[in-house]
Amino acid sequence: MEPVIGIDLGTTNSVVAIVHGGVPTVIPNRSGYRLTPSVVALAKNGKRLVGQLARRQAVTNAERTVVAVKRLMGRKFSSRALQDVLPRMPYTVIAGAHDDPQVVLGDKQHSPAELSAMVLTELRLDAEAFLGESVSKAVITVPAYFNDAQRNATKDAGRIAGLEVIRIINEPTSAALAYGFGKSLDEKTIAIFDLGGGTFDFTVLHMFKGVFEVMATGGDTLLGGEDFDARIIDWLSQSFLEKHQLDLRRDKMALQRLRDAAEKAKCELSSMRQTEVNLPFIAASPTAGPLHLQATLTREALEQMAEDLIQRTLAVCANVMADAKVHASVIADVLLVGGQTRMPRIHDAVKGLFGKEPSKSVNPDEAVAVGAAIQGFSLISGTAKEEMLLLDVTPHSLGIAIAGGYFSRIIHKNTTVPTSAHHVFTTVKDGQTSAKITVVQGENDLAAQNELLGEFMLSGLREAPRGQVDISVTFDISADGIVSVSAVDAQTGVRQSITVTASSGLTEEELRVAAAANEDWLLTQRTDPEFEVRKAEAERLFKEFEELWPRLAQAAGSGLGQEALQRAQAALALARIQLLQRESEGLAGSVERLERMLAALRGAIDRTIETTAGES
Amino acid sequence: MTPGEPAPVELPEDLQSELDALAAGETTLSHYALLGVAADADVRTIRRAYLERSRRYHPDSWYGKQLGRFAPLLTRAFQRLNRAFQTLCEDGLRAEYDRDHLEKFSPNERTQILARQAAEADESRRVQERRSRLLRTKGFARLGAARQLYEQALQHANEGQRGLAISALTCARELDPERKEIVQRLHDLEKEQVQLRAASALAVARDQEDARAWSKALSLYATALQLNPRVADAALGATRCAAALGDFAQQLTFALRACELAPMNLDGHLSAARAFAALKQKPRAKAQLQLILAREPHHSEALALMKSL
Repeated sequence: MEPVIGIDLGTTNSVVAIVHGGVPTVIPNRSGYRLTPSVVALAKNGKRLVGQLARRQAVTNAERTVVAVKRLMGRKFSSRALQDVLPRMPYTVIAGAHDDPQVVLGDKQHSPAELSAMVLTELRLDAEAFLGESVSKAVITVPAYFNDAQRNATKDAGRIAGLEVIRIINEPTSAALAYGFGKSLDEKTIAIFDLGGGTFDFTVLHMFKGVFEVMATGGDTLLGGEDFDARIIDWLSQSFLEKHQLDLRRDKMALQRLRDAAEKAKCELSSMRQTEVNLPFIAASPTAGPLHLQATLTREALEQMAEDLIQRTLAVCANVMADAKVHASVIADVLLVGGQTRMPRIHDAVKGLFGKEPSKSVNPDEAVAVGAAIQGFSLISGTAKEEMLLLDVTPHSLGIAIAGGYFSRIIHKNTTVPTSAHHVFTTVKDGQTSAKITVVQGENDLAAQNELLGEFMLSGLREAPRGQVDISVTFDISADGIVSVSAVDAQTGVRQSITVTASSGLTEEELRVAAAANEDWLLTQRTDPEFEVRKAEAERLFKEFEELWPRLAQAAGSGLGQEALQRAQAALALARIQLLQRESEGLAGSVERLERMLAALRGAIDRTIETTAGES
Repeated sequence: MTPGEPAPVELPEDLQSELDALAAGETTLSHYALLGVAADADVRTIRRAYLERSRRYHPDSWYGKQLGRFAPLLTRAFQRLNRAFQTLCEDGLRAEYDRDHLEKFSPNERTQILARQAAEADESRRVQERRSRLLRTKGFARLGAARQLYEQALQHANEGQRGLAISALTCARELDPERKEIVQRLHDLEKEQVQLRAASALAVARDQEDARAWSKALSLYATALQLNPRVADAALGATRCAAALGDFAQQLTFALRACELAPMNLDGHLSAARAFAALKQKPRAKAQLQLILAREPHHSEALALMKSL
């Protein structure tokens, strides 16, 4: 069975997992860590760095280090959501051709999907190194509250990384799969509180005999651990500003140091009551010389700064439970997922809301990736009776813009996917041959306030008086939560070809080019220039051995030990395997050994022939 | 297979005919019949029926299989099932559905619906009464009931009836979620139960291993490990069985788990080294062996394997 990896592509960290021999396992990266920072950088020497390496050099190379790219995924450059986060990014983002954000790295521009693909490629290589075989299929998780454009961008990233994304699943649901693995006999209702680096999701789910039914889900795509960090950054730089009339947030290098210090302080306050922030030589003033930043942050102060963020999460929980029509007391277990849930205040807030201790049975950092691996395994192994089945829902209402700029819902939020719905359109003018339909996703009654998925033209309609042509349009949402639209002329049965024009993101051509570029990069990574030299040498040796073989066999019959022959055969077999697996180092050793053997065997043959000649 | 000929459909025959029948009976089959429940079924029963049937109709259950003309039928069947469930699990929608479709139901369903409506009216009256009664009593009635259940649970636990104790405590916690000893006791009991299950799986696994039933033993060891992920013995057993079966991938997985759980136990490292060696990952195999030799420089098996590498 082909391996399917599960990937949690997070805002700050990513994790890759696999079901190996029936047991879900987190795959450590090649540096031995289970979490890989979702950071991509262009080093000073022009090399691409990903993960720990990229993160380690972030302070000295802030402008060419891309963090939190997930926050840009599937967003339009002009959207408010994007404009709000941009000032905090140390790197430069410009508008691309379709109002899509493009990150500037050196003399190149990259789409968010390409940058995510670099992280995915790294994880794929880690998995391949761990499994010792190639990996081409993956299940990738996204926040439940991601919309269609964001999901598609994630799928594109997978494609660029050379992965067939067999399914996009929601992070909280994925964590629930990790929780439910091996508990298939239980029937209960559980909730997942997922506060990650960049997004918040809350999901209520019912499990029974290995079937997981999402009852309702909701969240906030712009609320996460980074916002807690931002509060600390603002607090530190505000007091610095008051003291020295200098705004540290304007200096990209200082901002990166502040960001690291804020995150460190936040993590420390999860276990300690107070912590010191110490940033010497953070700035220089023309009058006073070098300036240092020193501050003491207490847990209470942090909780006060972040109280409104926590209240926002609780409000979402209440809404989702209302949608699911359940009361907090029915919920048997609350899972905490995402690093930010380590904050004691959040733990207490959740405990207060549900009246019970949150469950500790899943690892908040790893559960999402583990669940994705389980889903991949369940899909691929295809034994319908035992595996886990996920009944997920669409987090947003889907509909169209109608006269007056209003939003008409066609599929309501929290509908189980896959689902489809029809809507019949009719012509409004005599002889009308085309109609424009605007597809929108969101909860606002005004279409313009929601996310525009795309617009399409229904063309080639029959010419008829107005109201006489009925076009039945079908909206489908797949099990991935991805939307597609098709239309049929209700009277004639003629199918309309519709293309939803991408409102942001990559075109098919751009995708192909990006995937090819990534493949080239991978190839250069895999080719060791020395390998080619060793390969040629090994092949020459194979040939010489082949030519020598009949004489060797003859000599072995008369005097030369059989043992020497067997040793040569074993050494040859080993070299062939090393050649196949491109083990450059090992091959070098083999080449050396084979050279020695060849020389020794040649000498031995000459001697044997001499002796036999002497005897005759 | 000749080219042009469609690939054979990989769905069970009974499901194929079922899907055809469903498509034919698109308009006549009632929601109750589709879900296979009685018309007076409660929401809990309906939800269970829905989840069980989902396994049959959800396209994911047949992922990667050749479905041929059945692909759209399967999706439609799931969507119908879904609609039926959504309608029946919401009181207002269900009442409306019952009213609108009354003449379509079978006589049996009709009686059930009427009976249910009568029962519901009865129930809502009773709920009303209980509510007003509860409003008159104070909160400590609930607390008293919780206290009683808690004591009952303790008694059950003393008698060794853990299952009964757990269910009593669950009720008690619902009545009085604030009381720490209830929550704590319940947590302890549940943990104990899981550990016991793990221990018994481990014991049976050992028997199976002794009887050289490797694959049975392997799955039991894996179960024990799932129930209690801290038992190094289970991981060690599993890696031994996988080794006996010649399944190096599994041998490796469990060996690594064993190393993680009991880093001082050399057997885990040795098994990992063997698996790595079998999987042609020499440097990793060597690293494991070096770990062993660092601790026990004269470990003969490790030395032998190191030499062969």
